[in-house]
Amino acid sequence: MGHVSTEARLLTGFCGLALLVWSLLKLRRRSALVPTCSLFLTVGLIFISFAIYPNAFDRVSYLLGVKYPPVLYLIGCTFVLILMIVHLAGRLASTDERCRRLAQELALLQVAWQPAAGVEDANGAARDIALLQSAVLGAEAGLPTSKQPTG
Amino acid sequence: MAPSLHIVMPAHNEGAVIAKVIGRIQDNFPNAHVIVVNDGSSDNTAEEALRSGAYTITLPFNCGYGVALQTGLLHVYRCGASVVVTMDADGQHEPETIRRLMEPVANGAADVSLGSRFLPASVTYRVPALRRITATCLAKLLSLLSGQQFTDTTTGFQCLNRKALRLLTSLKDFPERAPDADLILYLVMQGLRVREVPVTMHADQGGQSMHGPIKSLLYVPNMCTSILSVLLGYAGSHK
Repeated sequence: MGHVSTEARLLTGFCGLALLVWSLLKLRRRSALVPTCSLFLTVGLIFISFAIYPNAFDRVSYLLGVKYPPVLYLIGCTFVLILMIVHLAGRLASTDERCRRLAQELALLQVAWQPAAGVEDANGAARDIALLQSAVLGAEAGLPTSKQPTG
Repeated sequence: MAPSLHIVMPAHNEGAVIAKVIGRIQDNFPNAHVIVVNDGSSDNTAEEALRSGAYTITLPFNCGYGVALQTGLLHVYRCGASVVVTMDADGQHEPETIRRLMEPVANGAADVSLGSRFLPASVTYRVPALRRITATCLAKLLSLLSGQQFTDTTTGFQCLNRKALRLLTSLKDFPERAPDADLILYLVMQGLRVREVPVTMHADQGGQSMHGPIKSLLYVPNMCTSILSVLLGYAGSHK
């Protein structure tokens, strides 16, 4: 087992504690997403547990057959980072799509409420509002498609 | 009663030319409904379009050509349009050739007609070499994948019937920036009859090109990925 200095343990513990406090503050202010906070809380707890039991990581590493513990640490970090990127990319895609739909509906609604913008198609605008209202009343998230395809 | 013609034009900073383009459309089709989708322009595009008598939808910010196009299509679909023509607002597409473009759709021979600048009977400007090579490569790829001959995959001059309109407005993952070869492939894969028609195209008469140098560089890999996603059935996810 490798020796872990007191300074290293203190630093690990401090980092873990800082992460815990930061996540709890964010959670309290609701300024971060709950899944993100839970991820940081978990990471903070792992840091603290390694500060308390410094040899635990080495044991886990040998148990998994990795003879040089820092390699497991690197693999773990890389995996967590990739996981986070994948998660954030997914959220970005869904936010982007919602934002686009919102912009489309806002534009259509805006023009429907401003008769001067499209006098010649006032009927269409009125239909837009009616369809939007019916969609909002009944539908899940997504663009309100009008009456279903007639082909 | 003949079905009314709806013309959808996404526009981004085309204030200098849009009135002229709308005027030319109105000269040729006095009863057409011209819908301009102002894609968050920072110039007077919306004012010019309104002044010219077009129905103007303004997106709250610049969302991209694809989003603007789908917004316009969504509007005309809800209005009950049966035939819709999409064209660029920069004066690149010749309104006089709309009739020719509409012909296959109007007589029921096709669901979608694409105005091509590379067919033998087309009249076109001098397309830059790099763009021409890119277009040719993508056209070959699309022809190979769809089993149908295509020459111009980057055309925004198209005519759609209601069936195609329904499909495109319900498409959840409508390409945001450049709905080109990927969308054509999607339409073909959905069983729609797509046909190319020779048209007249000019070099754009002003405004801002949607393909800057970096976007142009990324266009081919992005388009290939988008085509792959269509092949994987990604685009088939409807709302």
